[in-house]
Amino acid sequence: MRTTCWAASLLWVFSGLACAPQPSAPRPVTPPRSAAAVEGKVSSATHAGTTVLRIERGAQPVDVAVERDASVAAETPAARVDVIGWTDQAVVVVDTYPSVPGGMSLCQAGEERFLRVVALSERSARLTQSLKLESCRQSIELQAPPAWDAQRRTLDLRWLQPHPVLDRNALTIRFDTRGALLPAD
Amino acid sequence: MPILKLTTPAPNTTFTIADDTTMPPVKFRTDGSGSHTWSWTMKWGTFSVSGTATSPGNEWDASAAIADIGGTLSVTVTAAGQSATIAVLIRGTNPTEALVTNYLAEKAESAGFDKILKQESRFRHFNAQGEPIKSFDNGYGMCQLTTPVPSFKQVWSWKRNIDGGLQLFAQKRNAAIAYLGQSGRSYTPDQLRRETVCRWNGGSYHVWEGNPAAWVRNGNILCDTATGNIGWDMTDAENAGKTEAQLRARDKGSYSAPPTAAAHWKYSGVCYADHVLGS
Repeated sequence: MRTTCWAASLLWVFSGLACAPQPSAPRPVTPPRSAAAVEGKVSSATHAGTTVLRIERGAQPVDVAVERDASVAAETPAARVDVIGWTDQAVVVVDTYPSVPGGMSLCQAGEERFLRVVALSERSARLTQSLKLESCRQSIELQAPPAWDAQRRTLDLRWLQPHPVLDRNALTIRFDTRGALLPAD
Repeated sequence: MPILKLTTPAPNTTFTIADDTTMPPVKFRTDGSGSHTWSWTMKWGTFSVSGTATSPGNEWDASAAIADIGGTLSVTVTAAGQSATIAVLIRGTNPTEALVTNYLAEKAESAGFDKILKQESRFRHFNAQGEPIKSFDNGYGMCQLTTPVPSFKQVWSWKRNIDGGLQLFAQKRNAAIAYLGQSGRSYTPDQLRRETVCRWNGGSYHVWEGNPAAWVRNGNILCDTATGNIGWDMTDAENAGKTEAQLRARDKGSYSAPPTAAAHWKYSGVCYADHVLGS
């Protein structure tokens, strides 16, 4: 699901143009989402080096701030925000940014991507998991797109090389029957 | 009581490191006799290192102590309870292309890095004043090392600087090997070189397709051959069916800044590899 950036209120910097979807298609998400989980819409804005995700599902939108890292320039907005999947109580999102280039054009064409798991209630959103999904600056690369299984309520991640922080090639994120995030293996 | 004097060299004498990083003799001599203690400090910008040496007589060659560094060398010599101080300058000499390529030829997994160095820095490590080149974002030397912050030796020695750059290049090479070799797929040395150079700039060069399947250049990327790494995704409806000339005419006015989300051109590691290695 592609997203768009929402127009600024008095409190937010307007970044509608900067957050418009990139011309290139995002990595495909597999498999289809469950009809049991109500879906919504996710958009983003950036202010003071922080990205705020706005999740619209239900009566009113809820916001959650997510941090980037030094591989993303402070005022750079997300190039795109892709929803991986929904559960009754959570949404899984990937926000993508152009890399801060290093010397000798290192990663000038690169991207930095963050996976976020956001717990949702009627009136609030809470970031429950955040990890660096892919990175040009840190040479982190998925072997395949994130595999969301709505029936099993799992998200399978596989990297070409061991993730430098997780120190493993694969990770499965699981949700319980209510859609809440379960502890990692 | 006679005062200890430094008789050689003259204050602010400049000593120049050779293009192959060899430090020339940097000899200090006093008019004293007996054991001498030499306390030295080398400073350049925010970099500084100090040391102490002793000599049985009144002469000391600092070249071994200051190998691979440069800047302003301050020396205080003490003998028989007296001391004297002097400062001299250490400057560098750019290597030739042959020296750099010969040095890289000793590094087994550096294929393609020489081309990046030629493209990005023309093998220049020092400015006209013989001091290391420093970029606006604190990138030092031939490889513009920034993160992690380079050491004093990596700033002043082009060989140590290249070694630092090769550590980053190795990450991209390892990633290229993992990508090209997944599922037991085979690849050529040239494909590895292109994939590595592409990843240096960002993204992957090859896709697995065809019948029989093989690694081929991503055919969806059309490059602006007048630039170093700008191109277009031809699956974008705004680009499809247009020629390079048409797309350049449309977009070149915005090349001076990174592409916005509304742009239909982009930086491409595929185009970077084609430009650096030849398509």
